[in-house]
Amino acid sequence: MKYIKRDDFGLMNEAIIAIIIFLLTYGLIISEKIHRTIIAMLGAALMIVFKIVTQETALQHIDFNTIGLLIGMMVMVSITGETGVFKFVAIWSAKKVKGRPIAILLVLSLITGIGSAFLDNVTTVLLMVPVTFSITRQLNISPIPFLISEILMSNIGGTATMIGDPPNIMIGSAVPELTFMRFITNLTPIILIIMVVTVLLLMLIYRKEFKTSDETRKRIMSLNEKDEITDKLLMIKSLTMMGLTIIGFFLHEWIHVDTATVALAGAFILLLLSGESYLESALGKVEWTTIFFFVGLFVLVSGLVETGVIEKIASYAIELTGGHVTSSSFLILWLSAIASAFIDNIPFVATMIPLIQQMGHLGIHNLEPLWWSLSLGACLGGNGTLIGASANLVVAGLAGKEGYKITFVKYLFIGFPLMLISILISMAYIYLRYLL
Amino acid sequence: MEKIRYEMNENVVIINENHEREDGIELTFKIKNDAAIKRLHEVRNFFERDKVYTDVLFYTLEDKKFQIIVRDDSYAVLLAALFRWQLVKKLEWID
Repeated sequence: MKYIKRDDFGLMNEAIIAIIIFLLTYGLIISEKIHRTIIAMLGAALMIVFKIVTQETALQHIDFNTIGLLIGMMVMVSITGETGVFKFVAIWSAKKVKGRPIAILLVLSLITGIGSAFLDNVTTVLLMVPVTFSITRQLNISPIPFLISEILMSNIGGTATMIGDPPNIMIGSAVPELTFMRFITNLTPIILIIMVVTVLLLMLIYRKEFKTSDETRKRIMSLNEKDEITDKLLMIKSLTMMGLTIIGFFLHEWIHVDTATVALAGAFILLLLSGESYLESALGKVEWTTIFFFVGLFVLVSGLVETGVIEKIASYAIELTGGHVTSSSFLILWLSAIASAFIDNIPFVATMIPLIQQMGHLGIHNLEPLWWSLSLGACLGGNGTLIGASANLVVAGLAGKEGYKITFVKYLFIGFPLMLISILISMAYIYLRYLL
Repeated sequence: MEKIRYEMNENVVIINENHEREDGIELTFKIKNDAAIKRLHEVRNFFERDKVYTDVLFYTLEDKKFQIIVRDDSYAVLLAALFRWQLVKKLEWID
């Protein structure tokens, strides 16, 4: 019989090693000294080398639905992005609001928010930032308010659907009953409210920032947005496939096909329609560093699951909240929000998913408010600081390179209070809808 | 310091410059044929393919008119690109 040595807290030696590997990896990810993907993959390898999990078990813990969904959407967006459709929509909208800067702030924010609900947040801001520079240069005003607004709206919009933000993809993939449709019916209403509140507050904050003349507004009105479409046929194919894929997401629970299959099928049908010439470039634009980061994290967390660490933490959490759904939900919501404001929300959610599942096994029967709390907290929390989400860093990096510095403090004064407001609204929503 | 001077290819394009902006130079292009529009698109693709977004910004206006806002530090590079795609036929440094 195998002798299992336990310490005073009832944890096995393997569990202690798993915790050390996990914390060490987490610390190095947070320090950002070495690329997070390298650290996560090496941490995962250590879990296997130290026999915490076998290779077979590690592979079983990798959520291939998350991976497939991300790859499928990345392929589709990379092709669609080349058609110029986002520039077309942005300039068309700017003209519709007669070139008024505050109204342009509103429309660019809404486009970013809606775009992020269906596309990866980083991709959305990468598509929006160039056209924002283009419009603000024409108006002779600073792009910084627009860029900050786009950061905030990308994280808010991403929370609205199962495919909008990696935490939601992970939650939706891990919990089969949380279908694409249920994300829409449970998260989209509250996200629309948060979007409206945030945009109104941003318009209030920046209302005196913009000074333009009739002349500069006329410049916007004279732009020809149609010229932004670089390939009309490809645009039609891309948007058609994107639309059909989203319809597929809505139907996936009834046709019994997982979301990853829908996304990958959509992506490869689009490649079939667009021609082989796009194959190499589209697959090349898949963010493989993100994909492998996910793989590493899934294996890393599997070490904690297999050694019983997650079960232990879950039972402590239940003790702390007395097993009450309300206090557990609020604890998860605020913990996720504050943690996600400072650390990457992907590893955080990867750790929290098995924790919540374990809380279900230990007696909390109504897990639904806990899942929505995790989603809202982890996604919206990213707005709290400049390092809270990848999209924030990408926009700040691009702006800095172009000579418009968005500092940590400058962003904090806008982002953190707006993040707190969004979490307070979420708290009220969760209480009223699920806990009352 | 040396300045750059160019001679536009008047058979295909008329270029007007506006130096009143604080953040760069504005060039307006009146293009005379579709082939030249295609060449200007090549210039645009050349600048938009890189990861610098505000060096040269392109705008399409009505009636085959185009506008470029170029940062001072990218002016010579833009002219070199216009020369490469034959919208400018002569380019030289002068004292």
